[in-house]
Amino acid sequence: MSALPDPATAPTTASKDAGEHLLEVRDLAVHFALKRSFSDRLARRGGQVARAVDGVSLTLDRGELLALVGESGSGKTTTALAALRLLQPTAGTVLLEGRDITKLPHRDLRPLRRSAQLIHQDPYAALDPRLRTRDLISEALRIHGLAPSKQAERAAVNDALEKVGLTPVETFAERYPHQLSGGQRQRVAIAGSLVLGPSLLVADEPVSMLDVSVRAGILQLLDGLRRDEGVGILMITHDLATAAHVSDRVAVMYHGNLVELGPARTVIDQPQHPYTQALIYAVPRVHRDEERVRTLPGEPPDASRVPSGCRFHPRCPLCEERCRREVPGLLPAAGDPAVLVACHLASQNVSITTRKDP
Amino acid sequence: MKAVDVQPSTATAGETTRSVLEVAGLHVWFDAPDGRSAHAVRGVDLTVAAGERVGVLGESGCGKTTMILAAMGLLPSFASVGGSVVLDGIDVLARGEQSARAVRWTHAAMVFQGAMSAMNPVYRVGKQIADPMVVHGQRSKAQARQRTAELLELVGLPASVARRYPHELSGGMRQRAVIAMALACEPRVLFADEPTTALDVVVQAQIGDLLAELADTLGLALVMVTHDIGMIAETSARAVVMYAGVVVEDGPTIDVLTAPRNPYTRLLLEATPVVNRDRPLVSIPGTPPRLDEPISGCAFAARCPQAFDACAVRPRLTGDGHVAACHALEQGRPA
Repeated sequence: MSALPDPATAPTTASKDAGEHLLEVRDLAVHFALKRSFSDRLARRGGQVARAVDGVSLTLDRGELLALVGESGSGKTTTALAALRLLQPTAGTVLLEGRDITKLPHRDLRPLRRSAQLIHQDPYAALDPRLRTRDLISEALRIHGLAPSKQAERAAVNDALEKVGLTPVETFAERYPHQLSGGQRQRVAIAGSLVLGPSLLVADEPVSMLDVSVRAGILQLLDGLRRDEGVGILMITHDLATAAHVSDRVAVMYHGNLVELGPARTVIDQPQHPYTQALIYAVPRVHRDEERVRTLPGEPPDASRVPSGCRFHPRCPLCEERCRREVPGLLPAAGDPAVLVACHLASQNVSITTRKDP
Repeated sequence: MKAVDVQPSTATAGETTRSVLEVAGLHVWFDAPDGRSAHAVRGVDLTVAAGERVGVLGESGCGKTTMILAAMGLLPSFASVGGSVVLDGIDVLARGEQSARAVRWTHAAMVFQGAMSAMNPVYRVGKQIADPMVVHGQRSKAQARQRTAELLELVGLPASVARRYPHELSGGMRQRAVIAMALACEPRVLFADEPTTALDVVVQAQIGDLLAELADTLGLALVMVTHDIGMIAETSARAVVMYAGVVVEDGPTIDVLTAPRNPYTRLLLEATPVVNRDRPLVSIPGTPPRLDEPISGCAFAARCPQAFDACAVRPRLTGDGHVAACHALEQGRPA
């Protein structure tokens, strides 16, 4: 125990973290300008702005799998695209392997594209139907100048196919996408990312288009990649059950903000934020040990209309006066400091299942 | 869609059960231009009683959607259909489009998966809900308007939604409007094809609850087709599992989901991630069989960990109340 540095004298986390994390996102904001309406023009106002992501901070380590969970429109995909700089952030910084990528000039982006890869949701649309598996995978090698010879290219493709479990590799390498099942296509897409040796994989709903019987295989593949290859994986999903099974940590987004972030099991077994609770209770269950609570009223909000105070307050069954005025910060939870939660009432151990009146 | 004579149907419309839907010996083939055909539904029997909530579970390509499209007479012209479908006493397949028209809207209605594409973007929501009532001669325009307001209230929408266009509604509101439309002509059977798949989790739960509640209050038979096991658990009293065009298990939802008797059902459950339980996920090896090639014996045998020599013959559904098609079960081997 004495070997541990005293927290007071230890270097500040900010400077230490910079070199430590694979990916560090700080106060990321992505705003989209909407079309100026006629009345805006008359009043000589600027157009409205959709604040898709508004101040998100998170980190991802090597070999870690972080699930970014939320409903459509919560900003989870926008966050991931900005983290890869496929979208230009409005504000904030993104450090990949300690380097700020938000201000890189365009010509310096190619090495970044190699080390940070995106896996799309739809393996049917992600693969060029006219290319064989081998050509689909080797295309990236050629673009990045990583194939010095035909033999080296062949070996690299075979190696990638082997890693994603498409064996015998020689058979699969010669197939066209239409000759592959949905799960096999997603494996080809993953092999196309892996062949470049990335340190970061962003998987955007990697199994939501697939049948249940092959989902587990793809999730196990991702799990193996981060364990064996040390790849950091940011997995975007709307499905908490999927997140529960493979991720180390879960980050829950609502309306462009993080509302809860912590170890997967803790967040799912003891959700602190009312929104996380609602998401978990809304999941239909096979083994219903408790009656499901009444579902949350309303629908995901409009990013161009940001409510005052806590963004969740118009739908929150526990909303109090303070929630309408003050924006809650993402702070360590009282019971478990490993969990960060953005709720004024979190310290009171609230639950949307317990009613205030008996 | 053309009718093909396969075999005399075993169930006849004259039976004095209170069933509103009787599917017997249903076969569907899709003919490809090259002369091959895919045998998508390979002999399905399904009887649904009035007010019953049935969930049909299966993966893509198992024939679940094809089955309900056939029941509504909605299959395309390159499909051939055999067997019989009796809906509320009317034989849907007997006289082609003519008999199908007689059941649509008034006896059976359907809620489709994509709520956006189920509505016409250029007409107001109210008109789209009122139209079927007028077209089917059930109500005058003024009465239909009145009824539209009632229907919107029934599905939990304000009456003002009638004046809006589909694009002005959110996904969940649109799906509610589509449900109101389906209920316009007071059908006895409501088919729902993946009604919640395109929606967000919280909204999914709302729509699932709404469908179950409507079935109970209106005495509707609800036949919901989905790949989502949880949704079946929450909304259906009875679960039917399909694989490669046949029913492999059928019984009370709680029994099917907690004590599955067919190995496919069991593996499907083990492959499904669950929020509140910590156990490793399994994937089912292999892929479903091609439907454009003849399938002999049990279609799942090639992927089944318990397959043995008897599986070369197609198993029948056996059991009482909770039936399953599996030779291992018949011979008393553990599932």
